[in-house]
Amino acid sequence: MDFLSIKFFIFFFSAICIFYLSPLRYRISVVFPLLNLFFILTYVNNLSQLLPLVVFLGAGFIGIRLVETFANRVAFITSLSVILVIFVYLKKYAFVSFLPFISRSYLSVGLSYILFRMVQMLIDVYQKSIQERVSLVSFSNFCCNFLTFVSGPIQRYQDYKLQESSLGQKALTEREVFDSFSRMIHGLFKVVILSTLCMGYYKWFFSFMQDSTVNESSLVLCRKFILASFFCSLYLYFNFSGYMDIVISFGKILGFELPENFNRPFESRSFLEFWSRWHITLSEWFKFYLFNPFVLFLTDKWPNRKAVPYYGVLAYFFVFFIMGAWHGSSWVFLIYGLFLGAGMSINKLFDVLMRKYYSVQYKKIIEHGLSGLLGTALTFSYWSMGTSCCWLDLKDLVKLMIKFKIQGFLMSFLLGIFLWAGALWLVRGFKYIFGRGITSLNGNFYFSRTWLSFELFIVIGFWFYGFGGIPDFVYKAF
Amino acid sequence: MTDARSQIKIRLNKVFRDVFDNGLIEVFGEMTAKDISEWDSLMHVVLVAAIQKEFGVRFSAAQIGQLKNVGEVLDLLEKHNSR
Repeated sequence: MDFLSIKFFIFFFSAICIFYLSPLRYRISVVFPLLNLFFILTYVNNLSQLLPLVVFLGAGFIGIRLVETFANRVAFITSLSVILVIFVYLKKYAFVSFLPFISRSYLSVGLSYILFRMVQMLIDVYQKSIQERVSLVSFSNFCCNFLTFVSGPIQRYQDYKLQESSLGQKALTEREVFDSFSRMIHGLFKVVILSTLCMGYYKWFFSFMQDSTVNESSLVLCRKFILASFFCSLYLYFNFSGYMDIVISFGKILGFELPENFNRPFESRSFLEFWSRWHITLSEWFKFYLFNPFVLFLTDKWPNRKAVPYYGVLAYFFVFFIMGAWHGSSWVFLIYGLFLGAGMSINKLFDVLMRKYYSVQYKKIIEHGLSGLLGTALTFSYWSMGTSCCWLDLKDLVKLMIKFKIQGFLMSFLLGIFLWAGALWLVRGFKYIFGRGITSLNGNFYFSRTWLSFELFIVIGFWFYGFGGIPDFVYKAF
Repeated sequence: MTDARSQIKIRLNKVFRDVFDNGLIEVFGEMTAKDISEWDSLMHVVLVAAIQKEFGVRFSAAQIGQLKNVGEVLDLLEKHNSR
């Protein structure tokens, strides 16, 4: 079901009515599974398209049962391997392209996020962090929760269970309902208006870039590339965070508290900080289940105090390479993984060297003023260049690499820092002059309602007249 | 604070001083990563490894990831000791 369709909004209002009109004891055991099933069924034309998803979920549930029953390493590793193999096969990763894939179309939406949930449950059951037996209803509600089915946020099973058991015990206040609907409208504004505009600009610059003649100066080409990258990043942000606003507020109305996924990522002053602000639940998942165990393994195996900071450099590279590669099944995402891994490990190495040769307090000094501004611009410029892997296929990316060479990318990167730092400087200047006025307007009852109505009016207008141009939810593909 | 908890706290303090190479550290229940500038994601894991070694315990991935302050570490260690 497209989140920007009339169908979705009919589903949304019906779900709220059915949920609240049904007796409390049936909400989790009957109503919620039926809503999840209905939501998933809207993605398929016939039931056979659901079969791979059912097999994947079945393998996960059986795996969890095995680990609960036998509680040993063999059961855990076997279950984990089976889930991973099925996932790689169903996602048709390029490195297993020699396998005979299923030729008929099937539902692949949400598989990545189901994988994260199942692996989290499997590890936590194995390590006794989940001690109560996982029932089939809780398992299916958690893995196929229609609120988080398409692309998160990645909630933890323990947190979901807490909410499941306390559902309906606390009535929503009028303020909470109003805030949830307001946030949903802000989310729609981000997706329908801002992300559509940014997508338009990025495609515009991208088409300019593709039309570039050989004789064109490299500076012009770099400018087109970096602007296309900037708008692609902004498009991804507005699209994804807007979708999160819709989903989180929808959840809130039903009584579910979903975790936040964004915290002003483009204010990050380093790439390390960026990943604690962008797609937060994914970063947390990788931190819990890959980064921490990997560093523990290294420190256990080679307990050398002086080497510890460099273990961090290595661990960041490894984890972010995997995270980047996860984003897609084609080879280009391996390059994306290398790009993310390199960014994180270089940033960590800088951190290590600054602590070693300067001061552990260096962040307090460089994160303010001009250096802080440059850090934010550098982070955004680097991240934006990385997103080119999301809009170029491998052939185009290689062509661009040949055309640009190292100098071209470096020039684009520097130009990006310069442009974004300039833009930030203007925004901060504006805030400095008008900040107090904007804050008081935001707190004004009439202004905030008028602005909300304006957003809704624009969204509805754009929806009806520019429907064909509104982008689909981009993370659905993952 | 019980005697057992105070004993754990003394040993934990020693681990902190050793890991962060700072003899002046005095741990307290509400102490978080914000109170020690060297305490980042990486040092968090190094600290956990040192605590595991000192107390002969093994924390789960979820416990390591969710530890927010020294008080929670003390709770976990106390729980482990009482078994």
